[in-house]
Amino acid sequence: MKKAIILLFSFSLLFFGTPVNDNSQSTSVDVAKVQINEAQADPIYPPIG
Amino acid sequence: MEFGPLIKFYRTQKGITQKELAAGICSIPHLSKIENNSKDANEETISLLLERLEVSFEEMEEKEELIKSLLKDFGEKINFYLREEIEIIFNRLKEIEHVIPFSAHMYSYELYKYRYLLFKGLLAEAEAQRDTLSKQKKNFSQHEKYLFRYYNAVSLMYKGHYKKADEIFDELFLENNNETTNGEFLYHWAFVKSSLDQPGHAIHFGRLALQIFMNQHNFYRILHTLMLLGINYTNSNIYKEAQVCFNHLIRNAELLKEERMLPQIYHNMGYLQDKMNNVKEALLYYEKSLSLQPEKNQHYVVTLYGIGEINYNLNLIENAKECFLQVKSLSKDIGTKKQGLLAEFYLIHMDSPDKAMKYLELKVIPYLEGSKEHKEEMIRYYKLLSEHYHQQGEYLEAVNYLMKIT
Repeated sequence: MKKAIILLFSFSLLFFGTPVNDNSQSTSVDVAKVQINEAQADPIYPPIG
Repeated sequence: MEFGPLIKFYRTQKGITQKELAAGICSIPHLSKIENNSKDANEETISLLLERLEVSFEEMEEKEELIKSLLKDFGEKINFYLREEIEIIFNRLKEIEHVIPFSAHMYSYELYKYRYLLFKGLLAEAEAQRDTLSKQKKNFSQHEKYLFRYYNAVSLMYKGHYKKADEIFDELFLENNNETTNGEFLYHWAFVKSSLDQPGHAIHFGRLALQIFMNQHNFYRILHTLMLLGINYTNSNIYKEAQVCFNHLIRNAELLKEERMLPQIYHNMGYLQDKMNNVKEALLYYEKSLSLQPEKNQHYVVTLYGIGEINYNLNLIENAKECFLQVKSLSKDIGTKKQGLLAEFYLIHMDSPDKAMKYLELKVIPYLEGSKEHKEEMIRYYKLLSEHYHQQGEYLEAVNYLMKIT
């Protein structure tokens, strides 16, 4: 019984302790890359005249 | 016509003394009073004096009428954006410029001259003209005062001071009981609203202007207004309407052989496709636009920058690099500082994204903040920097940029 509880506790630790999606390895490079994909170019205005 | 000062003008020009001119016609003190406008002379005396100066009284009366009709024409041609005809009328007015100060249209002429200089984009000369007019503004009629303030707003637009221009338009509109039938006024106001990142207002005034121009069959201004509407529909994410505007423009510009506008229309169609994430279509339109721009001017740089950006996002790094290097070098000569800075940002980003973020913070952001006309763009870069610092674990800096957004 004791062994079973210890095992269950260890598994739960393993399960909850592991991040669902490990992004900790990503760097600011990736973030910056994603962000500057947005369109930045300007339109060209008609003449003021 | 103010005949007294006119007589004095011609007498001085011909080098004749008052004694010589008055001989046998009137006394010298009488002539002096006439010249200084302190005494009304009868038509006969005026005719005799003018005759001696070899100037015809009737001709002067005709010139007064001519000035009036030329100024009326000039206003219309400006409204219809008829470049060549504006030039012709202005040259005709120049020919009789020496008599205009003696006519009742002296201020109107000087005001239209101010408008002409703005129309031609001769800003330094326009500013000098504004200063001259400013000294005379107490003598203006109600309508002349209105024109002066309106043209000052147009002048501010040319200088990129949209907020101040907007204030003037607002005042003029209020004074006119919140209505105007002047299409040009509404077009200019829509332009200002667009530049201040207020696309909703820009669409409102643009549509009013368009209606007026359509009633007038004012084709050039219809094209300009459609372009403005297309840009603002794009910025408001009303893509379908924007597409309708640009398609109309492509058809009509080709029909009117308005080749000057075609590259700009293609560019803006590219801008729309870019916003809609149709990246490949955007690239095609930008490239089509660039192929029609032989002159390497500001528009060329803006289009080239757009091409560079799309190539970068498509991961065509070499193509992007080529574009950004060209943008960087052209920007120095042409004065498109924003595109120059952003091209440099991308070039640094290719080697080191971290260094690019520093560059963004030290060069790009201060420039955009300084010009105060790029609110939407600044928000984008604040977000970018906030994410960057968040990623670096520098939460205080990250929050600092987030605060700037709100």
